[in-house]
Amino acid sequence: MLPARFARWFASRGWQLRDYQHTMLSRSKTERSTLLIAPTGAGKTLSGFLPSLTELAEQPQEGLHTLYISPLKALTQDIHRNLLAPVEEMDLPISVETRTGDTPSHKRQRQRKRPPNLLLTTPESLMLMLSYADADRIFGNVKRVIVDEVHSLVANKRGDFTALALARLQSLSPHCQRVGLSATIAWPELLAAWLGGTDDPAGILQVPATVKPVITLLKTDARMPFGGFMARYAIDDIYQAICAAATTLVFVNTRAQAELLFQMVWEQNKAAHPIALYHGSLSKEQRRKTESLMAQGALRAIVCTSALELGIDWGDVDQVIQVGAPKGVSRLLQRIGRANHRMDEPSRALLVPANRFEALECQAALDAIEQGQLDGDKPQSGALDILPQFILNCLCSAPDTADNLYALILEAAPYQGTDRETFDKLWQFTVDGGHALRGYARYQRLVPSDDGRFAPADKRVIQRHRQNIGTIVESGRLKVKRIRRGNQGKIIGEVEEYFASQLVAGDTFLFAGEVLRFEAIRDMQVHARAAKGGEPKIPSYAGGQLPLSTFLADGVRHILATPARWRELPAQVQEWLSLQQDFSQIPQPGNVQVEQFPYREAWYTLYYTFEGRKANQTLGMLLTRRMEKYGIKPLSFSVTDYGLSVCSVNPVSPNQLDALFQPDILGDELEDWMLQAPMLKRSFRQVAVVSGLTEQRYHSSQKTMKQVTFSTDLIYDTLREHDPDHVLLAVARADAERELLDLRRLADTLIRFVGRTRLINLPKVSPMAIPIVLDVRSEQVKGAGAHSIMEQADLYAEAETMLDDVRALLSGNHD
Amino acid sequence: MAITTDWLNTQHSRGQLLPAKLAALTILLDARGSAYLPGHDTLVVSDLHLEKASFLHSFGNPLPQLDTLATLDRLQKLVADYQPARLICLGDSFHDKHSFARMTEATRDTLASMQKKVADWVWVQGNHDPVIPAALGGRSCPTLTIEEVLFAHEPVAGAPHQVIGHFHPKCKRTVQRHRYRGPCFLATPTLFIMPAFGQYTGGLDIDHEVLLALAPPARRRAFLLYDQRIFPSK
Repeated sequence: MLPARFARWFASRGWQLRDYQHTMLSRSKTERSTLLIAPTGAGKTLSGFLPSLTELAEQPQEGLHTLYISPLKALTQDIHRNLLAPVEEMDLPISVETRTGDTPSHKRQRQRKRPPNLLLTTPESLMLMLSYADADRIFGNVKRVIVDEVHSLVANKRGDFTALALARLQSLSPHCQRVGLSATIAWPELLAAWLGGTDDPAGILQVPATVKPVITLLKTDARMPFGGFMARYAIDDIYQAICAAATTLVFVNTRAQAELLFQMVWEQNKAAHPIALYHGSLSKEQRRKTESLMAQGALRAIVCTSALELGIDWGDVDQVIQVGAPKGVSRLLQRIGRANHRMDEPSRALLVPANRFEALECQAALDAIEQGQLDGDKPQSGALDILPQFILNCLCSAPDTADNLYALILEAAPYQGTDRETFDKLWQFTVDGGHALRGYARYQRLVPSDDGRFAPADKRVIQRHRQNIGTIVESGRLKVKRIRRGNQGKIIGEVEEYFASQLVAGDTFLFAGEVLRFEAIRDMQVHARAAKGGEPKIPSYAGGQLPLSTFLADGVRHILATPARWRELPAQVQEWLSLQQDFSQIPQPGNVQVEQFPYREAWYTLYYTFEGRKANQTLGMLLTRRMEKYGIKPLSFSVTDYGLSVCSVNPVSPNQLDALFQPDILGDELEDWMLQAPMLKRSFRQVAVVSGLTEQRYHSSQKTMKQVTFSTDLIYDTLREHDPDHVLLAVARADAERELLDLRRLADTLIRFVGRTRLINLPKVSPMAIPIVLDVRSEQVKGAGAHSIMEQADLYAEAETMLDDVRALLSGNHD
Repeated sequence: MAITTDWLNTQHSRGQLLPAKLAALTILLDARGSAYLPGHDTLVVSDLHLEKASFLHSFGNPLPQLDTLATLDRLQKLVADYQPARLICLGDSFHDKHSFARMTEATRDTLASMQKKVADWVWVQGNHDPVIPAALGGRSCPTLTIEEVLFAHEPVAGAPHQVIGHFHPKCKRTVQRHRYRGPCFLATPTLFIMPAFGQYTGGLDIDHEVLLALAPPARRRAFLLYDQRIFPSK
């Protein structure tokens, strides 16, 4: 099976061909597609490439043979390095190159003329290449496409986008074989169906994990806080753990946490161990530097976000510390898998909850791992706003008919159920903007030729499309320049625009591991100088929050309902639970506990639903609308996976609560809300950009996100008023229902708990409510509440006297 | 003259109207973004920016071109409520000099029929529309004076009291940790800046240096327009 020179190379490395690698080789001769599911450290990527390497070694050829698609740019670099080793050491006649957004244009042009045998790329770059007029020449003979980290590409728009790209690739090269590589996941069959394409699921090859990871929950004497997300209390324990291991990855959930934790660790770092910081907002150069230091084994620890989660091979990491709630079992396992990249040794990990609620979540995650349970998002039907982009993409390459493209999209598994009517509307939108926009000659993006095939109207349409390929609507980013002298300085990373816009000259903030003093925004750059010591005034910015899996929320509810299990929890958490029991009550599975207390001139009501963030979000929207009707005057609400916290001017009475918590809320208030909600505007913004209604980039100038937000919000209002049947409004709504609502789960809850709410009035916040109330992301509610807190009585008295003048003038006019 | 004291009282109690003064001139601020001079039966709006979407469009920005219709719709409602003898469009009524040519038949008709209902329709010239097309009804002038208050698009040096547009002021307010933002009227004892009335118009924060120079915090009052209401602040 394995050619002699490969066998020798394996032997020289002291490796053996593993059973499943053998199976991959033999399957490559027979199967149309294969999904390989293996734990990290199992040599997954190499097994994906092995069939291509052996085929090319035996029959060298010109042109593209195998395409590798990775969700991360950095991963393509890493795989490139790892592939060069066997290619060079065995002296194989194989060319390997990467192609991402960072690839310089001369290299792109050469790749277009003479593609390498193995091309490593991202979904967006692939889509761009598929839009070339000579796409059929480049891709016509592709034998195999390898999709890495498949699990990160289901149930999101990027996955839908990738599925369409695969369908297009298949139409150019019908015999192309698909190979998917994935970490261990909850529903392999669903993933296989996604990978294989409509009605042709991939064969599954599952490599069982041989050893379970060794995970411990931090038990410490330091006082664990009730709320908060920074784990300052445990900094000493974290530092000790770093000192005790050779190399550690410290994972946190947001960039703000990464910055602060990094700062805190360095304050502790008396031994001056080399400890680095890594997150998605740092500049490319900084990240490359950290990566290469890590690869050389020069670092003791890295404080990082999910940016380091996916498969980059770091060599020897012997411990992972997760600070903060794990958010999901599969995600936690993926992170833990970064330690000890060898299949037959257990990974070691330490969980450090930042508050006592998170300790419950950690315990729930440990239970699930112990029982071998996994969570994850199930694939959904494809997002429709990608279709106009995809249609245009295909037509940029070659003119075609609506019938052919409809047939093509049905080949992509997420789009197999798309009906012709919807497609036709989207097609028409792509052709001339649809009903609302048709009257304007300049809007025509596609024109038909004599044979009924459509092509882009002119070169500018193509150019604009190519600049805007993708599904990620970036929250606006500004580069951060660290000024040394005059306007001279170095770009050290990027921050979100909204964060920059709230800074005033002189504000200090934490970034890239140091305290900076903000000066001004110039030429789309945040100019800042190093500040001398002291606490930053603005702590940091909360970029990149993670959604939490509903699966874990259920686990937490279960632990709460089973006091016998509390003994497994750290002593402080037990103490917190008994405090809650004494002060209020522990939420029970049979009812929905509602706590109410006054705080800072407003009332807070807490609903412990344990139904997950999406369902809670929807419940929040609907409850506040009904509260508005009852004169409770809601101001805002915030959600976690466990509960919902509503802030209002007036308190809720028990009778009102019964009337609030009714299934009919889904009928009466939902429609009302759907039309006005800011959530829908937000999803419309995504839809507008992805479908090409507005663009993030025009020529070389990137629009600032503010401009995009401003225009899409107004567009939304205008369309809703004057063209309510516009296809993009329907798409935005479908999107919101898909990604934001979880209506079914909410309906079940409301029916199950009708008349079974338990209102507890408290003098102040209960121990269990603290982390929920402290969650910073709150959604504002328009209405009487906002009006009443903004009204200032003294100013109205003045208005009253002036109003008399007006009345006098009016009556004067009547005479 | 259509507004009655009853209507006035109702609208005021709903937070949709608020009186203000500039010199001797009484002004009634409407949460919908207009100002009414009860002593002169005159309605003032500013910065309609008609056909802005189609203008941006010609630079490849495919916005839906319903903005003109939306703006005129809102203006129509105001005209129906106030039925003023005079309406002043305080400049930048048209986004560029070809705006009128780009308007559809339907929107031109809407505008024309509205103009018929107002005896004296005044287009004050702005930087975007220094020349008002002759085909349009109404009269056009660079500035206008009512009770010694100058109505102009941009501030005029030396005028003791003036009402202007041009800046599209907006402001934010933070109350009990909740932040609200929207367009606003911005007033000082000598200057009154109208919010932009057009559908697709952004805004300039009142804390921007340009507006700080015109209306320093010590002298200014802002009237925030939020959720169909008007909120005054010191």
